Amino acid sequence: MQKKVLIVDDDEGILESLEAALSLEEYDVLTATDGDETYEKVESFTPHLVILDVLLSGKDGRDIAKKLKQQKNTMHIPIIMISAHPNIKDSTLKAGADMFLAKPFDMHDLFDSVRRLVE
Amino acid sequence: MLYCSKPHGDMQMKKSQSRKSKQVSSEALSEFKPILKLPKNWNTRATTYPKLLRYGVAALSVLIAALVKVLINPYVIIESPFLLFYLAIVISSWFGGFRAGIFATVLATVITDYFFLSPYHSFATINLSQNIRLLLFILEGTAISIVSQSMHIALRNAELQRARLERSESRYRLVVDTIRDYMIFTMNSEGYITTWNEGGKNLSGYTHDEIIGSHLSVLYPEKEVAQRKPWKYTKIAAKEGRVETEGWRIRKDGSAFWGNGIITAIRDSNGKVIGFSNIIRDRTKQREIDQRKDEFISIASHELKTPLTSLKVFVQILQRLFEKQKDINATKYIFKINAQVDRLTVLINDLLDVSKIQAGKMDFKQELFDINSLVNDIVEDMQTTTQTHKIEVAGKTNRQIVGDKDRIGQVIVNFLTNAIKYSPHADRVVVSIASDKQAVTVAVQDFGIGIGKDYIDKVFDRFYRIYDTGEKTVPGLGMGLFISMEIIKRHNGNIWVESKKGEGSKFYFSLPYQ
Repeated sequence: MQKKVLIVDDDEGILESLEAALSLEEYDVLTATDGDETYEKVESFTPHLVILDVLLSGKDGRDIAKKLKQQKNTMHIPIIMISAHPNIKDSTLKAGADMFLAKPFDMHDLFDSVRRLVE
Repeated sequence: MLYCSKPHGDMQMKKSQSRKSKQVSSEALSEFKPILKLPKNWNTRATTYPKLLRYGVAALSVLIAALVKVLINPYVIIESPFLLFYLAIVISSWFGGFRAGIFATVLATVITDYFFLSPYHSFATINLSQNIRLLLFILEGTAISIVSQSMHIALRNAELQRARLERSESRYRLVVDTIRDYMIFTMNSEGYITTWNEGGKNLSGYTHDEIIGSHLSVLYPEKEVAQRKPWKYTKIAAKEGRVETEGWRIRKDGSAFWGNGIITAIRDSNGKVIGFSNIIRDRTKQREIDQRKDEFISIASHELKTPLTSLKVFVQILQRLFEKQKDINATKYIFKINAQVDRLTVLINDLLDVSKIQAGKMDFKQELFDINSLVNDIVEDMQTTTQTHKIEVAGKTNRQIVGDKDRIGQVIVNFLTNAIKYSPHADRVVVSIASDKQAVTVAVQDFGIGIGKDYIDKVFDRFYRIYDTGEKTVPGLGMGLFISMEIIKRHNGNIWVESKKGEGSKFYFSLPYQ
């Protein structure tokens, strides 16, 4: 069965590139750009993994992670948080992220992380 | 000899010497010059009168004394014929100086001998006793002249000294009072304000009269007063001599400014604290600029890294496609693009780190970690990026370290990157781990170009790069070792290098156990 990944970032370039990369690895990919869209798509799409940016326009990705990890129906979904600020790793893990990747990351590291969390 | 008239030549020489040695400062202090020049000889006010006047006064006072003696002679019996002349000598030497005093003495001797010693109206003397009395009178007159002039000079010096002090104090007051950009004031040992300058009024709105007698705390926000901060500051200043203060300060109208200041203890000659001085400047604007700069660097690095992230992912997608198509050339180029993207990433991170160091905002985690596994992980990772060098690890420690694992890792990566970069013709790099009672030491050794003696002290400087004639210049901004040094220093460790030109370098850092 094809695994589903939801990518959340407010930058078009990041969304496009990650979508292209993960599609190459045969993942079913959907994207979202803000908090509301994320909750909506988590509900409808039921992804196996969420890749979540920290600094979204108007919303802190860590708050989204916290909320997803608190809700019964979404708490099992693994989350990889990504950010250009390498120092905030700890705070993302505290917010409930299962893994953190500092931008810019190596594609193979991303694949490794996704694979590990999804399977 | 002390008062001989010769030292004129000497004096002039001294004058010209002092003029020479003060050439630069005397220009700057041209206004101060007259008061700085204290009389070094006998050329005081006593002798600044015209010569005729000085000797005229001497002659006149002796004549008056003689006249008085003649006039009172019938009524008052004065045993000593010289008595009234002493006063004349004092007046003469006081007014005209030493030589006028001697002149009066001689004149008085002549007059006394001629008019008042028998045989009268003759210079002849009748016995030895008279001769001795005349001689003694001359000696006494000389002594009076010396003492009189010395006293005169002492008084004059004291007066000059006082004037100099007064002027220097009034100048100092003038300087302090007219400074408008710095709040400068003094307090007594309890922290109550005793003096206040124009800058104080300018910055805080309080006039001199309004603030004198108020406590320092009047300038602090309520919260800091409740925390007793002003009292804590003066306590530290009293103990350590000075204390730097920074924070919001409150104006008379209740508004606030960001004040940066120094409180310094003022001590008496016994070392007892008798008060404090406080200099404060308004750094509100500077603070805003600093904050904006930090924010800018943070945003800029974020903004730069975002397109870099997608660029890197796209490049790696292409790399994979070309590999599938077995397009060897395209694969080669795309590999090079990927390497350049990585370099760009390192540069952005380094720039961000340097600006953090400069702003004093590089934060460090405190965690217990195993340095062996950190070294091994990094070596394993770095080995995948180099085909030319074999990275070997020697030794290990069984002690753990407390610090920021990621930042220490950054130092190891920096050492290894340099080792590979600066040994293009070598095929190995050795990482060694050693520990003793106090610290664990990690060293990275290469067998490359090495560093010349002249450059070895500079490698940890910011933006320094190793240039060497005959060697290809290796690119980079030279920030890595500067950042590494900061990281190690902040962990209370040491960082150093041993190197020999043409034989390679060995970079070390050591971290103490905590």
